[in-house]
Amino acid sequence: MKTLLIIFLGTIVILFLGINKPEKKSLPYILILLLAALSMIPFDWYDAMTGNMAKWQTKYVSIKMLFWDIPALAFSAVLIIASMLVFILFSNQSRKGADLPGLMLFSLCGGLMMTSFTNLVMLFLGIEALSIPLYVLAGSRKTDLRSNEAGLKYFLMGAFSTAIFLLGCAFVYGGTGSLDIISIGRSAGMMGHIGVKSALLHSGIIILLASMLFKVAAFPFHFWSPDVYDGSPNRTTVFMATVVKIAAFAAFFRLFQYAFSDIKGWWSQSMAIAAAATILVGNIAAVRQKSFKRTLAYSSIAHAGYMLMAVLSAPEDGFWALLIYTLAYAASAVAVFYLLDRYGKESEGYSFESFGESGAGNRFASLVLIVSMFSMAGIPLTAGFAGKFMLFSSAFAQYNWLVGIALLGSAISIAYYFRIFKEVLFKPTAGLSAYKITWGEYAGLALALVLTLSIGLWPALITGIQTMVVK
Amino acid sequence: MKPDSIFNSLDISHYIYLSCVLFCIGMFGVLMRRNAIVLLMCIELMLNAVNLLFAAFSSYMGDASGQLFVFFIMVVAAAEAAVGLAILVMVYRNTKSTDVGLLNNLKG
Repeated sequence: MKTLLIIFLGTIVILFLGINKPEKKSLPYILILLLAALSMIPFDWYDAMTGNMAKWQTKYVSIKMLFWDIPALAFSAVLIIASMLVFILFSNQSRKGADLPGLMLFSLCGGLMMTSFTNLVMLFLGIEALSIPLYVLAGSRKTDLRSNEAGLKYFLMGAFSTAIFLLGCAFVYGGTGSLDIISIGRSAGMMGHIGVKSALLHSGIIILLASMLFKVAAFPFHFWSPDVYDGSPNRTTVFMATVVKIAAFAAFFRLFQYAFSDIKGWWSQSMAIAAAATILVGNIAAVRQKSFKRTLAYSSIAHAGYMLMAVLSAPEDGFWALLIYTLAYAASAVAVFYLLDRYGKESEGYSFESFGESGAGNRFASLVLIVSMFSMAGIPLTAGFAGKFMLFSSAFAQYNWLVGIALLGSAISIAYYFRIFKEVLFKPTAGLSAYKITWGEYAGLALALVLTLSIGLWPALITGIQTMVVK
Repeated sequence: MKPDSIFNSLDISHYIYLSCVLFCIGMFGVLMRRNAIVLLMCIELMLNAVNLLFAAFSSYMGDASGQLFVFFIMVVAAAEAAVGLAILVMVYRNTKSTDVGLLNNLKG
């Protein structure tokens, strides 16, 4: 609760502070704001574990539509860390005014609502608060036709999927008579397979599933995301690929595990098939791309497929696996997009060939690139491996065929993740014009590197927290 | 007591059918039409079909939370339309057209 309030109120202040100043000047305020919000999470965590949170909420918050339990707090922390990385590494903007970072922070508020909702109204408001600033951000380069197209496509697809989501909510409401996810879960568990209400609930769940697959860009509904990622400005793309995707998965996980876990048989088969198809389609399409930016867009579709496995598995295991995976994915994806932004050439559409000529002079940046690529491909000793290992082992008991397909997909993914090494590291022209990296950006890259390596080398860090919480 | 009107004698299923038909008209409009303004109108039609369904369920079950949801949908639909029209104006300035079929720079 405090986190959300701090970010929301602080963003309004930052918008005023940043008027008529270069965007770089508002960066320290944004970082202080995010750090303040992040520092509230341990206190809330302590309250949630001792049960004070429930008491506090019944005392001060009369309508309980948001509830900060352990999963909500953990995903909030991941979202804030991911946005901090984005702000640090993509601070070098020449624009005046703090409106674009302000929109990103408002979007983050929507993401925090999506991690902690207990009512479908709040989930809807969270999704919209997350999406509407992003429509603007995707089209924020007003004279660039590609950015325009990305903005319009994202808007039309987002609004369309929101309408489908609302239809699903209406059917679930008609079937169970409630919008609260806990009471939906209770009446869904008691409901049989026969009757009008059961039919309404069943169709509502399938429509909700379709709309959530739309939001996370999973297989039958993934077609919009490569275009939108490709056309948007780089900072918006990385924000969409990390913060938005993580928030959507936190909401997806919460909705299906809290409300519909008792009737898993109704939706788990379709979701498993969607996950398998997403992994295969994302990875195979990524291999065939010429542009590195588009490859990363398709790889983020494949990552959505892996993350779907967490929604399918048992609540406890699935939550920890998803948490590690999202943290690992955020740290490595932001670093890789940063290097894409710096080394790639936009005029050549970020083609693979354009990388070797301009970049790779900086040793540290190359090291971060290698570690992040290893992490995204799931090579051991990186966080990506720990995340994939936990995801696959949590899903293995029920869906061993799906784990097989996921392993095949990871093997395919190595082909395109390692393709960039050839361009950056082994080109004879490499190392000519080293890009100068500022101290702030060094700090951001180091933070991403530390996150990736610490979880990878020392998974006990997370399992220790896990045993502490479970106790 | 409410006066006896035709609306009291209608079963809930009629409302469900009507909303589903309206929703499907909107959905086919989004999928078939090429004019961005028509697409916006079709999305509004889909949202209003859902509003009707929520209001019908809410009054059928005597539960107010569905009607609460309707207000939120209206507010958000207005915000969305504002942003959508702004994006559309921006696209029109660059292409002098509202045809979404012309936007095909992103491929691969």
